[in-house]
Amino acid sequence: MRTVLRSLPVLWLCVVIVAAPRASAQVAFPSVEERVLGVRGDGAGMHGGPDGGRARIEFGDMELFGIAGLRISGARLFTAVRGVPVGAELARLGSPVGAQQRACGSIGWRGDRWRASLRAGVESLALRGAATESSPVIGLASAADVGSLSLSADVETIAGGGDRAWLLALAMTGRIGARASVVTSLRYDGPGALALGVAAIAPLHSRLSLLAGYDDGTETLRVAAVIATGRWRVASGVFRHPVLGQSQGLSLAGDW
Amino acid sequence: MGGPRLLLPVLCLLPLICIVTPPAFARVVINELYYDHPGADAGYEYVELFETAGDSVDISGLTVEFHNGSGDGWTVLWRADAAAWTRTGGLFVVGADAVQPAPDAVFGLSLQNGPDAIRIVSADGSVLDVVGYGGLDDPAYTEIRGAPPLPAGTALARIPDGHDTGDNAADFVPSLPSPGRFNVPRDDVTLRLAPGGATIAARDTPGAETITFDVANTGTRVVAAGAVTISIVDSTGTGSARAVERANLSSIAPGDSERVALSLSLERGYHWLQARASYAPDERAGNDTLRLLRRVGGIPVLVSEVWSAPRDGCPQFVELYNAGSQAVDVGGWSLRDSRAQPVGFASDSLVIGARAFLAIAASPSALLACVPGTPRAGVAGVDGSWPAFNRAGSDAADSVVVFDRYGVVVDAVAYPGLASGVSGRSLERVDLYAGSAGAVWRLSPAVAGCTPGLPNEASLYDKPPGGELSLAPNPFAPARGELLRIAVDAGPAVVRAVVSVFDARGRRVADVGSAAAFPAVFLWDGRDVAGAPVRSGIYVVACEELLADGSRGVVLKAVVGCANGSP
Repeated sequence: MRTVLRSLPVLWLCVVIVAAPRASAQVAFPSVEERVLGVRGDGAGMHGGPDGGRARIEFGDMELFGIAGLRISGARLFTAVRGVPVGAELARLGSPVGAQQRACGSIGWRGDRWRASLRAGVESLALRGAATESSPVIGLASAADVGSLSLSADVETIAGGGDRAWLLALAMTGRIGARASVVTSLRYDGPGALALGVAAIAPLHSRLSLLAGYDDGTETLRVAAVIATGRWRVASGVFRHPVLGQSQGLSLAGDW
Repeated sequence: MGGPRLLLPVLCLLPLICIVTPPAFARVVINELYYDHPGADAGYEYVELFETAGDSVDISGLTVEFHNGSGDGWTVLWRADAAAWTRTGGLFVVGADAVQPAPDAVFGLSLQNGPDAIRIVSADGSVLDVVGYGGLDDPAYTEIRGAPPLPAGTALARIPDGHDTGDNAADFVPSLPSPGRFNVPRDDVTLRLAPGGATIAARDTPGAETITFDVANTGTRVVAAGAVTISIVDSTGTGSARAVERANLSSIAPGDSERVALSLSLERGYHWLQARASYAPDERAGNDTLRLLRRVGGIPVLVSEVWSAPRDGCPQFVELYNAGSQAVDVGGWSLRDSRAQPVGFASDSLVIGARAFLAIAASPSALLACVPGTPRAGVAGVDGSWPAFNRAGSDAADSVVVFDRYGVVVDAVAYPGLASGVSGRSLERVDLYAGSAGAVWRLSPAVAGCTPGLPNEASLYDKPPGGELSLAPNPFAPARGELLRIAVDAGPAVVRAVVSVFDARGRRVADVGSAAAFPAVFLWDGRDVAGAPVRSGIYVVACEELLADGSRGVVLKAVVGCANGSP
């Protein structure tokens, strides 16, 4: 029975994949680690949630493709209120022609081997000389540990313009040995937009890890180094796109 | 023994006999006959005689006789006097005083236009040649058949000279009069443009231009190496100068030609070029010279709008746009479609201001009445028949060619055919700076269906800086029918450019197109590869450049905002 219950989110995701009508262009929080691994971590992923402290705060910033003025930056906070994980996220994609922003709040559930979070918010687009467009966002992330594997799923939908867009992401993390991990992911952005990804985490030291990955949806090679020092965790990454060129980002996370 | 005794004196006397005996001509024929001059014939008629061996011979006593087709017998028109010899080469002309060059014997022949005949008879009474002409086919007065009829101003000529099969119809052909000159010149060169060469052409930038000619030997003798000098004289508004010259490198056999290339430096402006093949013994003028026209420096006037399928009762129009910063006088210009002859603009002095528009229509008043709001100064007419541009339908694609006052092309564009049933909407050109190649058109979104004399509803006016993408409008709203116009100006080493659209994550959203000629303009309708509208957002337009050696050049990138009604 427990196995069936654990499978329900995945089954539901499969149904949504078939029904998803349209590609999307959302603003995602610029976490270097999440972008390399291809999996979200806000309370449901591998690093999400305040494990030992009372709160986690994260900042991220990425320059995109070497285009002046095109960057994405954001901040988010996770904590627990009476044992219930909650979070808030702000992200902004700035450009010379306007900005796209997202503000979301989330609430989660944490079990021994299963985690989930529900997020809701709004995404807005303010283009130069045009009226601001806003759309509600709702998403669900969940993860389950099965032996040495972690399975995660993330679905998000944005309404607006009389239509609805879907984003789907599935990931499986397998631990190799004591500390290394391999992550495979599947991302669906709409008809004809199915992307596979693979990534690896290689701890070089107790405080230093290297992350590398590839996503065939964007054909992007991704490399990052993560340094953990006490409460702080710093990640710096480089993303190489075959046409658009190089992006680089820096993200910082701190636990209290 | 008697035989050898006589043979020796005969052999010794033979040279002397040859010297003292007048040279008996091998054969004299009527080589050319000119009897029907435009207007009055008197003074222009001539008969050209030819000694077929090409020698100078005594023709004293020879008579030119005339047969009137309505009667019988022959009448002597002219008799050669005792001093009459054919010239070196064998020609001798008997003709009236207006014949040029002057005949060897000036005599008014008073020929009729036929059907008649002419014959020549030697001093001993032998008939040397007979020509029936003007429709005479009586075998008694012709050689089997008479010569073919010909229009006034044309001569009957044996080609090649002296060609005689005994049949007037086969031996004579209508030809341009050439009294005293060989019908097929011995020494003659003809200058032609090599295939692909243009008599009138334009180029955008000053610099060296190479013009290639064929120097053809149209005579019957070999042209020696170095005997022909090919030159170009460049005349501009400020004067003339012999620009370049060179000689032929090798001997040219009859019927052959040598290709000769001449390069000259052309500055900005109009150049009237006179190319000439100078050959000292040339017998025929008129085929040695070519006149060419070159315009260096483009005129920044473009065809910007075509109303090929107007509403009922409204006239077609072609709109011109002056993309330059100076006014342009288009007086004396003309335009045509893909078939008709050019028709001139109605006014001799017609000016398009900088960044201004001018619509040319068959009936300016009708256009002004059809499209309210059209500025009166923005419309002009034509002086002649309007070149009916193809309307809507399966074969409606057509072209517009605009010429300057000297007939040099200013702009030539092909526009697509409209679907059947579409009328009342003009085709507007999106890229109002680009050359004629790759013009991008769209149906006018204007409420009136067109914008004669006024800026187009949605056009890209400014040429993108080299090495950059130009996007307009940006942001754009596909939900309102706007198209994103992507202009690319690539460097000379670029052979192809591919334009795609990516989202902010780097996922390829749309393949917009590719081009091999620049500047190029692409249109993106805000749809993805599957044809569905993309969500509102911020996207990256990328242009990948491919170089001639197969390597990839720089990638031009620009950000575009897409307002599709759903962020």
